[in-house]
Amino acid sequence: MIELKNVHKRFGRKKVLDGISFTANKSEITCLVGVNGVGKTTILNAIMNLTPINKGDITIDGKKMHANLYNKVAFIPDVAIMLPSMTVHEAMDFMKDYYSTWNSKRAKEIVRFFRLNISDTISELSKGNQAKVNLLMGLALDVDYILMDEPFSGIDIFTREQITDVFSSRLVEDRGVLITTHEIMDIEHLIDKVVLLDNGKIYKEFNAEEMRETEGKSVVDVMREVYNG
Amino acid sequence: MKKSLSPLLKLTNFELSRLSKFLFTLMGLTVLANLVGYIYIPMKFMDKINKFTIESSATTEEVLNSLGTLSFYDVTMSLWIVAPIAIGVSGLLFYSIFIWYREWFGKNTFAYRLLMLPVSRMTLFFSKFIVIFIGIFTLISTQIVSLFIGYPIVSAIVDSTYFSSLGLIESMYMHPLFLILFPLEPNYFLILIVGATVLLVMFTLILMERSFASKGILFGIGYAMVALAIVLFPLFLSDIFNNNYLIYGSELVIIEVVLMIIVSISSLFTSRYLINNKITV
Amino acid sequence: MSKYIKLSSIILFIAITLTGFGLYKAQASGKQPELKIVTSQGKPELIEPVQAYGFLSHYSAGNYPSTLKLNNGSLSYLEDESFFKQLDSNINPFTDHLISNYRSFMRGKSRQANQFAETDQYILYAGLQSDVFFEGGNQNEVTLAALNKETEEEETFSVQLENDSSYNEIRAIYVDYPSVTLLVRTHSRSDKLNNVVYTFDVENPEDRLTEEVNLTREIGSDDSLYIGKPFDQTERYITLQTARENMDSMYTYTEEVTGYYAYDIKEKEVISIPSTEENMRLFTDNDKLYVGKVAKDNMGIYELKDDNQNMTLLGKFELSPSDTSNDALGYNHFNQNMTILNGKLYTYEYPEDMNRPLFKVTDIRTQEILFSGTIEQKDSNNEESPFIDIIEYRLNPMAN
Repeated sequence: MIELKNVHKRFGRKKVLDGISFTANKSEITCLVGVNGVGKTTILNAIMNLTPINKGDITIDGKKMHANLYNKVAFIPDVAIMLPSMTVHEAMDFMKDYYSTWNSKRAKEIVRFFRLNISDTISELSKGNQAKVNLLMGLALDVDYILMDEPFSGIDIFTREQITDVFSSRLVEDRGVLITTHEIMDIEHLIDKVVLLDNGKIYKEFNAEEMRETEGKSVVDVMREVYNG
Repeated sequence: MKKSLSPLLKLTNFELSRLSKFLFTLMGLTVLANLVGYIYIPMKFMDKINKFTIESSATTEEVLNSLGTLSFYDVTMSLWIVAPIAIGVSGLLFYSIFIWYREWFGKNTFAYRLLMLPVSRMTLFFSKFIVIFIGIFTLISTQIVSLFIGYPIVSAIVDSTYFSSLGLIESMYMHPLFLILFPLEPNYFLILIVGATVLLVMFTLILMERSFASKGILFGIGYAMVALAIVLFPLFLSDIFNNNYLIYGSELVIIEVVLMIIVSISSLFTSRYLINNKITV
Repeated sequence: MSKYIKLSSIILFIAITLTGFGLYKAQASGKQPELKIVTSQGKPELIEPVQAYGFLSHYSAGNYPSTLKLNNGSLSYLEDESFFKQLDSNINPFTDHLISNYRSFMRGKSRQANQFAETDQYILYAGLQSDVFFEGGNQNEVTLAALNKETEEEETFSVQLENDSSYNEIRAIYVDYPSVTLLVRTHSRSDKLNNVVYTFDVENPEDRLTEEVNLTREIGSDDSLYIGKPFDQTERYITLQTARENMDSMYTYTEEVTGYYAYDIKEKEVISIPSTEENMRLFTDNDKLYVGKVAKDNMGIYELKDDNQNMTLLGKFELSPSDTSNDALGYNHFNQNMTILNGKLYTYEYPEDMNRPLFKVTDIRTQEILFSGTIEQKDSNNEESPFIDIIEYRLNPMAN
C-alpha cells in the first residue's frame, strides 16, 4: 500500500499540496484526478522522492522510499527519461544492468505488443513511440506498484488505444497502479478508486464502481460537479 | 562490498562512455597541436640558423653567440603545447558542471532515470567525481606520452650543435605547468587534495542550486566562500600575529591538509543530504 | 566484459604512463653518488665540529644539483630527508640545529643565525619585530629570550633601545652568561649608520638599554663595518674590519679594507690593530686575539697581547694559492672559510686540481696538521668526482 499522510508542499509562496492524505492499494487502479496544475505530478514525484515535501509522511508498504524500493515501484513520467542517444535496445540493456526486477521476457513481449523496433534511436522516435518506450521501461519491471503520469497526453488515438489495452492486459495483473490523468474517459471503466484533487486538497475520494451503483454517476459526472459547479 | 562496488563500477563506466567523445577530442587536439609544435618550432629555428649562417657567413660559434641554442624546454613553452593544456583544463572544468546539468536540460530529463536507479544516490555522485579525475589523468598521461614522443623529434630536427643539452625531465622540472600537473615533486599529493576539494565543493554548489534553485546559488556561493575562507585562513595567521615564524612550514601543510579534508568531508555530507532529500527533478 | 573495454583501457593507459614516467624519472634524475669523508692526514673525528651545506653536481645526477649536508662527520643529502623535515629545515647549519632541537623555543623567532648564541647551558636570542614580520612595529623594541637547555624554561624580556634611529639591525650577539652583548646597526633619520654595542643582564633585566660603546664613533670612520663571522659567540673579542667600496665601473666595484679592529667585551673598548702591507685576517678564540698575515703561499699567525700592540708569531701555515687572496666580504661578515676555535685553525679551500673542498685542522701552536681530508665517492672505481661547492659553513663549538 502506498500511503500519503498529511503531505504539504510549497513552491516558493505557492501552496501546491495542502495536507494530502490517501492510499493506493495493490491490485487496484487508483486515479488521481484534477485539472492541470493541481499538483498531481508533484504527488507522484514526491512518492518517488524526486522532490522534497515540506511536511507529512509518504510510505510504501510501511517503509519510506529508499534505493532498493525502486526495484518495487516503477514510475512512468510523461516526459522521455532515457538518453535520447540510446537505442531502444541499449535502453533495455541499461535497465537490465541496474534493476534486479527487470524482466527481459516481458520486455520482449511489450516490444512486440507496441510494435517497437529495438534498433531505433529514442530521439528519432515519434512522441507516441517515445511514450511507449517510457511504458516499456516501467512495465517490464516486476514491481508491486506502477505510477503513471498522464500516459495519454499528446498521444494519437491509436497509441491511446494500445495504452488503454495495457491496463486490461496481464501486463498490469495484480499490481497496484496509481495514475494521474485529466483525460479520464479512456480508462474510466478500469478504475477502482478515484482521488479528486482541488486547490491542493483532496476534494473527494471514492470507489468508482460504488459511485456508479449507488449514485448512478460516472467519474466524469463527479468531475463536472466539482470543477464546473 | 561487491554489491555496492559493482553499481559504482557500472555507473563510472557509463559516465566514462558519455565523456569519451569529448575526452578523445581533447586528447587528439593535444597530440596534434603538440606534434605541430615539435616539428614547426625546431624547423623555424634551424631555418633562422641557416639563414644567418649564409647571410653573414658566420662560424658556428658566432651563430651560437647571436642566436643561442634551442632547448626542448623552449619548445614546451610554446603555445602549441601550452594552449592545449589550457583548453584541456578549462574543458574539464566546464565538463565538471556540465556532467550534472545535462541530466536536467536537453531533450530528455535523464535525471528521472538516474535518481530512480535502485542504487545509493551517492554512487551517482562518486561516479561523476571519479570520471572527472579519470579525465584529468588521461589528459596528463597524454601530455606525458606526447612529450616522450616530442623529445626525439625535436632533437632529430635540431642540429646537435644548436640543441641545448637540457634533458626531458629537466625541461619538465623547469616548466611551470608541468610542475603542477605532473607527479614530479613529493608535494604532488597536495595538488591532488586541492583538486579533489575544489571539485567536491563545486559539486555541492551545483546540488544546492538543483535543490533550491536561485536561492541555492546564493547558498552555494556562500558555502564556497566559507570553504575558501577556512582553507585560506591559516595563510593569513602571520599577518594576524605579525610574525612569519609562528607556524612551521610542515605544520602549515598539515593544517591545510586537515582543513581541506574537513571541507571535503562536509561537502560530501552536504551533498549526500541534498541528493537524498532535497534534490528536485 | 567488452562493455568495460573503454574504462579498462583508459585506466591501463593512465597506469602504464604514470608508472613508466615514475621509473623514467627515477632513472633520469639518477642516484646521487654515495659519499664519504676521506682523511688523508690526522684524526678523522676532528672534522666533527664542521657543519656545512654544499651544492653537489655530478654527471650521474643530470643537470640537477642536490644539496649535501655535512654534520658531525657524516654526509647526507637534504633531498633524502622527509618531505616535512625539508619544509622546516634551514640552510644555515646553526639555525637548522636550533630548529631541530629547540623547536618550540624557535617558534616565532627570527631565522637569522647571528641573532642566536648557544652556551653549554643556554640559548640566547635577540630580535626586533622587523626580524619576524616585514611590517615591523616599534623599531627600538628588542625581544630577548633565554632558554635554559636543561630545564627547558624560557625567559623572555622586552627591552627598549635608547636611540633615536628609525631602523635598527641586530648584527651579532655575544654571551658571557648572564651578560649578553648586542651589536646593533642603527639607521638614524638622517641616514647615518652607527654600530652600537648594548649590554643586557639576564639576571638583572632592565627595560631600557643605553648605548655602551658607539663603534662607529670610536673608530672614527664612516666606512662599512664588517664583523668576523661568529661561531662560538662566547669569545672576549669581536673582530671588526672597515672597508670602502671603490667603483671600478658603472656596475662593478671592489672592496678595499681600510682598517682592522677588535672590540673587547670585557674592557668595553675598541682596539685598533696596526695593519701591515700584507693581507690580514683577524681571529678571536676564547680570550685571545690573533692576526693572520697572508703571504704568497702561507699565512703567519700572530698572537696579540691584550694590553699592548705587540704581536708574537706562533707559526706559519701553508695555504693554497687560491686561498691567499683576500677573503670575500660576505654579507656583513668576513672570515668565511678560516676560523680559530679552541686553539685549532679550521680551513676549507678548493685546491686547483680538485673540484671539491679540502678541509684542514691545524694546531696553531705546534703547526701540526691534526686533520686533512676531503669528500670522495664510496665507490672508488668511479673515476669522475662530484663537484661540490660549499654554500654554508659553520663550526659547532659544542662538538669539541
